[in-house]
Amino acid sequence: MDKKVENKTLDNMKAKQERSLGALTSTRLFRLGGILLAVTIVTAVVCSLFGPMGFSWGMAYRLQRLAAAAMVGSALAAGGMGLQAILRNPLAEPYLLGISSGAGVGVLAGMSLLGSVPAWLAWSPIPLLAFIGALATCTAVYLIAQRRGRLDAYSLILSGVIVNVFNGALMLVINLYIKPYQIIEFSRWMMGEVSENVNRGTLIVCCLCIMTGWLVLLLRSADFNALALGDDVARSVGVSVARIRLETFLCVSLMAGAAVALAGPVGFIGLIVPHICRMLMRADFRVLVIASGFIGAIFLMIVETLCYSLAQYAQVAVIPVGIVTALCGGPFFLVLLRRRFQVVEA
Amino acid sequence: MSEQDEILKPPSVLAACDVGFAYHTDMPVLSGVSLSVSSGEFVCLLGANGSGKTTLLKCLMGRLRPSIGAVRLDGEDVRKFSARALARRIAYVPQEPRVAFAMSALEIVLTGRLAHSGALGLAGQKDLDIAKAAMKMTQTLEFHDRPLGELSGGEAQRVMIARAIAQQPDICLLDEPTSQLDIACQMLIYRMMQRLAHDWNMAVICVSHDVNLAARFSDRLILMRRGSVVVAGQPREVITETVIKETYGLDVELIPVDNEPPIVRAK
Repeated sequence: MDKKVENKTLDNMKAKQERSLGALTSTRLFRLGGILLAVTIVTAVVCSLFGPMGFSWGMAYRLQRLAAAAMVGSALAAGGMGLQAILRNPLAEPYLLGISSGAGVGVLAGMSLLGSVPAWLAWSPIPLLAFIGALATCTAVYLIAQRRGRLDAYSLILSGVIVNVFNGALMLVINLYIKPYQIIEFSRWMMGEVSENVNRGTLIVCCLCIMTGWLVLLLRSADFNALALGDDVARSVGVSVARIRLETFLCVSLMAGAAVALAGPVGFIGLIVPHICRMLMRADFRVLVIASGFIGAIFLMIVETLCYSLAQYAQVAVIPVGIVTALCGGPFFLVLLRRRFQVVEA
Repeated sequence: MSEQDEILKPPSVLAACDVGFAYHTDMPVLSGVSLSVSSGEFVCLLGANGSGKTTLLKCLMGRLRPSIGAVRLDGEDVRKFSARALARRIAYVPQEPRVAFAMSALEIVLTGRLAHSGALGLAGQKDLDIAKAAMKMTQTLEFHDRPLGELSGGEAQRVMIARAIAQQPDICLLDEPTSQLDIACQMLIYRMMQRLAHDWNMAVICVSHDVNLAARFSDRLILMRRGSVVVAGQPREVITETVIKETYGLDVELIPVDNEPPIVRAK
């Protein structure tokens, strides 16, 4: 009797599978989101138990830092995925396109202004100027690389590199004008560090920005799928190509601006995490945008915990996460680039 | 086609009225092109490279704005439609099937349902049924879970046609869909386009480089030269030595075939 019922449910499941042909349905998407959310929470709890002293209970004070790390990770990873979708290039990333460095200029300007704003507005200058910096850079890169509203991926990356150098120089100029006691703070920030003494207000504003950006990217993710087939086809299935590009640039500027305000220029997350997602999951952007957000958060929380716990063994006060991601991400990018060249030749 | 069907889905007409277009103001690509294609018709656009066929196709699908004249769908300017509304009426198949990421054939076909579905474009049972029917018709269902890059050129192009069919359009535009394919695939795709027009009552407009295949399968040929129409009409009437000479600047001879348009052979 039981076996019969079991067979019947099995047949039902098979029939369902047959009918949907493994296509992405809302049930599958919700299940995936739920699983990833659970894994993220578990990772956060486990990470909060580790510190310089090794394993210990009652480290709830770590949660704020971990929350910041999670936000930064998901912003950069999901933002990278969005950029890759609209540029049809798996090498696009907020850091490489100069968006992060633009935000960096804004943050440095904000930090040097901090003394001159009233205390109740202390949360505002850094994220605000970071967003303005990111948006300005994004606009500049877009205007340089586009021709008649069309974007060539390679000229885009090249102009990103050039704008990066320019922004670096701008940061050095700001460096010249700051007060001596701020120099240490500046240089540590430039290495990409999730700092403990982030203003609570700044943290909340940045979280809201990142969540909003992520949500908009998610709502546009079905259009990203069509965009993979080329501008003409995307347009012919009903996607407003120019508008979606603009929206995505805005969202990524918002997210990258917030991430840089929280942790400085943490590079290559937007490259590594989307790549991991593509290896693990189907190439559907609805899945990838959700997954890259969560996996980015998990990834950066783990890196942050490792940096925090292992600093004493390297005999330094802190290991900034930005250094670790750049040291791992640089070679990773080169491997991806080599493999892409091989594919093109073959 | 029964009377009842005609009530359910009225025939549509896509018409270009005196269309002119120029990428640079001093070099017009199209000038004074007028044509009209209605449901159930399979029309092929022929002409030498650079004669403006693809530009005309892009004007017809509303991607480019004509500098003079207008393209009208059932009397309304296609540029006035929203992208989404137009996608429910006109589908497009590009020359080369290309996808930037490793999406499966089914996922690609389902992008054709975007204009019919809500936020996130998640596939409901109806969308899946339509996608499946489109894939059955183009014989692509068996490799629904394989990425496009792994398929042969002919298979990939059939997936792109299935995607266009899944849009349930009134009009289907194809830009040299068989230019990379072997002769068996070419035949298959021309037969498919003919079926779309005659059995599914779509208006099918196809840019082609193969005069013989186009003449054999289509209901009407439109020959273009330097941005304007040389001649348009039924293949049997249109295909003559002088017309081909005028269109392509090539001397040809015609080999007569029973019950079909003559075969064009270059001298």
